[in-house]
Amino acid sequence: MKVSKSVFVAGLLLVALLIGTASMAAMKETQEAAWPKLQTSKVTEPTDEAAVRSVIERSYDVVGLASQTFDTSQFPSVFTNDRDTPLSEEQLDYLSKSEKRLGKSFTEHGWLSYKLAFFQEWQVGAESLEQAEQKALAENRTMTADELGALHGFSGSGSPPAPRGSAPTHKTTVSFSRITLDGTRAEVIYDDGAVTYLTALVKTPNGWRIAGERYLAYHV
Amino acid sequence: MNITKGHKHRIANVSTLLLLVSLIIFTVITRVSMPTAQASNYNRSAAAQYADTWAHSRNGDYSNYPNDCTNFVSQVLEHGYLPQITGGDPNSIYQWWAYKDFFGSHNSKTWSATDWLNTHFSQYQGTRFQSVAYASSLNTGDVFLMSLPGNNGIPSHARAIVGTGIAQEWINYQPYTYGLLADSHTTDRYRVIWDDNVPPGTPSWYWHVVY
Repeated sequence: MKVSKSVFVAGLLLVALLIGTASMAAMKETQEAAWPKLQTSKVTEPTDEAAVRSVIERSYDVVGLASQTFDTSQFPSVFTNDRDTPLSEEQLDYLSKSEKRLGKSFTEHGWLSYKLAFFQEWQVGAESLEQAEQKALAENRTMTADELGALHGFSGSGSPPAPRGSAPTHKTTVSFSRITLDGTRAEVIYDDGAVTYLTALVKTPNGWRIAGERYLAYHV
Repeated sequence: MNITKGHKHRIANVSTLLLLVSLIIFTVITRVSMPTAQASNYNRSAAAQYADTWAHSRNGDYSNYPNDCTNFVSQVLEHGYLPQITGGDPNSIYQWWAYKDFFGSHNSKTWSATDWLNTHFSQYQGTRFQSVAYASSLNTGDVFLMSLPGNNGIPSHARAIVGTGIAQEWINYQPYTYGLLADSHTTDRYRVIWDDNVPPGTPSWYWHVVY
């Protein structure tokens, strides 16, 4: 009888644990995936799927070029701010802090603004790094620790600024594992060999645009 | 065999003393067995050899983290005889150390966290490391750090440069491409082209060892 009581109590504890874990997972999902729920049946145009793939692939070229030149003028052709696709808490926090560091404010706090802030911060850091390197070079020496430490910390971290990017030496292959289309919205899971992404897209009058990004797995 | 209470106490004291002495000896031996500053110049080929040996496995002398990339890069630097900077403060950006003792493996944050290592490198700019603008300035035994998507520009992944040659593994590059090669942990990579599968637009830091 004692044994069966113990088993009963253990069973109860296990059930409680399972319920607790499940509700925590559900809460986390609610917090992180606050994007609209999509129905798969509302495919409006057969060309939509191709257009969605295309804009994701093109975003790699746009971003790759911006990392070398800091020209972000092409960003609105692949990214957008969408009120129904909120940034994650972390992304929003980054954007708010970035606004302070850059001394500017974006009218909308969406994915396009996030990407713009990210590259503008990178630009400020990289250009200050280049200036310090040029100064040291002109004096026939290398940068000192003090000079490097005095530079604008990239993205508010203690890290020194990252130099600007180089021209890509290889083409990134993107493999799509799920595309869910629902009228003017899409949700895509794809992988670029380094990261598995969950991406939200919206169809604007100018075509499909990336409106949000989450990271499902890293395997770089 | 008449053992009095006094005898028992003495035996217990001696046993405790012996245990303590053994513990101290063991700790000293294990700490001494880790590579320490033995040479004044960084041995790049030794660093690369270590990286190649352990690219797909783990050295039990060190901690093994789920995200092991920076821990691995630190090991590579150490096995190139870059001396540790000890001090016992795991939260100091000026220190960089790891050791194993009776209680397990220990290391500073600069040893195993990418952003901490990057900050640590910058503290020794010109004396142990030199920030360079391009990967083409990196040599065998140097380090390449990056901030992967989702990390808001904070360094989050590390690779060790192991030389120039024909890639032994590949993801986005063509098989057997010739170029600057790197090893890494977390997703273990052995002699991949240094930026293979690094997404374009990934902020990166290139550190040349000048010690």
